[in-house]
Amino acid sequence: MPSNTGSTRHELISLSDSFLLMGTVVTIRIVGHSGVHEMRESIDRAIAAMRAVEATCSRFDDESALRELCRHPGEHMTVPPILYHALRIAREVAEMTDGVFDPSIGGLLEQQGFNRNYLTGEEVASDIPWDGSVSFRDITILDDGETVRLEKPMLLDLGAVAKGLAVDLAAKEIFGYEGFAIDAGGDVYVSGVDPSGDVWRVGIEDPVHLDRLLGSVQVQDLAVCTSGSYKRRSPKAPEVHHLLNPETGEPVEGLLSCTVVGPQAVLADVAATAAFLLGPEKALPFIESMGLAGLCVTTDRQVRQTPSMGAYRQ
Amino acid sequence: MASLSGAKLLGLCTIAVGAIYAAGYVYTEPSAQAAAAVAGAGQHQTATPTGKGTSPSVSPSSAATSSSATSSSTASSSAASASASPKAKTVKYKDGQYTGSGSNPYGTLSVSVTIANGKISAVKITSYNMHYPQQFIDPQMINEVLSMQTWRVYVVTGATASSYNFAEAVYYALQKARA
Repeated sequence: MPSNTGSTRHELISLSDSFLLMGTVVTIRIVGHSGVHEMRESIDRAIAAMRAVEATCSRFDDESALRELCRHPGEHMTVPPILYHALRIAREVAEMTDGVFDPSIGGLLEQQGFNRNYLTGEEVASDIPWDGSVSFRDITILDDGETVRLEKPMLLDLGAVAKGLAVDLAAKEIFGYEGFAIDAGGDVYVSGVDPSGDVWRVGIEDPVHLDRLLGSVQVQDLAVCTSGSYKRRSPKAPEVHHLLNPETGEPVEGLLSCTVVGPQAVLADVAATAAFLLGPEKALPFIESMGLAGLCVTTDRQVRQTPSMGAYRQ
Repeated sequence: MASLSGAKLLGLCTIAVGAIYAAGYVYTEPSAQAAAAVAGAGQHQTATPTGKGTSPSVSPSSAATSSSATSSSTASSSAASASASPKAKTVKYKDGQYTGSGSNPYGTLSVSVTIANGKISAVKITSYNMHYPQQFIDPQMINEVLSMQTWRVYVVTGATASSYNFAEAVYYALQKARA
């Protein structure tokens, strides 16, 4: 959408721009009393930070640091801070979920046809075979802040972690305004007030009727992230979505989406993704055990939420 | 109530955002650790990326958005440890800004693609005239959906929408950018 400015009776102005990043549409809106020029510079800085995360962690870019790391199994590799920390978070979540969430799943996703660069349309072939024998336990991360070793050949996928991290880093680039919102295709972070001068209200998409909301949460300086099965489908088999169980290689059943509210987008996104993968029985207890609030929509269209979620919904 | 593991993950996330932000976004290619310790993980944004030259397997074709030091590519370094697997060839583009337009049954759209150092550095959506569905584009649409309620929703969380709608527009922009 074109950048647009608008003013309200509260004499707030807002500027919003949209970009294609990480395979989705990223929209940043800044709200303030003045300074459209500064707002545009802040947005550009935020986008550059997000682009740096993408360039480092993308599975679809031959020249990403992630792909370079994957070309060197068995070696101690010095990796950039973005990749190091993204891997550390991903491995921790894998540990916590006993491998239900697993960043070594890239080869499986590639095999299922999730293998095109969203900008160039080029097919990505890593030439790393997937045989189901690798797991997150084959990722060794040293405590020095820069060293990683892949014990076996594998194609990493850091989708959930990288997008959340990108949103959090973008948020650090935007300051000194009345408010802002970053929306990276389901990963939302809001701060301060909206263009009407109210605390931001974040709509939660209805996974069954996409033109409707199933509700909203009112939050400040928090992330709201949704992980769901209802948008990304395998080009090879439409019944296969992009959230696969690494044990079975099958799509997860029982849930349509999980939404989590948390202090950072990376935390909320990985919690939502892990909860979704854990399935209907374990999803909400997992979100609660993380100290976070959330809700899940089951395949029989029931909405269930943690008690703590009530505080954000009206 | 949060468990110990929840607190640990929160800690890891907090450290991650702080450490990455502090390091700046200078891109460094992963490098195999040879005898000498490799410097440079903590370069700041303002530092010139020339320090890269000291690491054993720097690959010149990896210039990211923020580092402009080595734009000439090809001379793939014959560094000992990195030579095993050749990199796939990727298309190089001419630096500049290029626009492209596309359409689908719902309307038209255009994008502006910025190329820096031969790589895509940003893809901005410059117009998006869709009749439907544009709920994530135009918050006023959502207000109609929520007509029984008075609040405004400017932002919506949902499962990741694909950028498929924009593929045609990006394709035409990249055609213009081909070197």
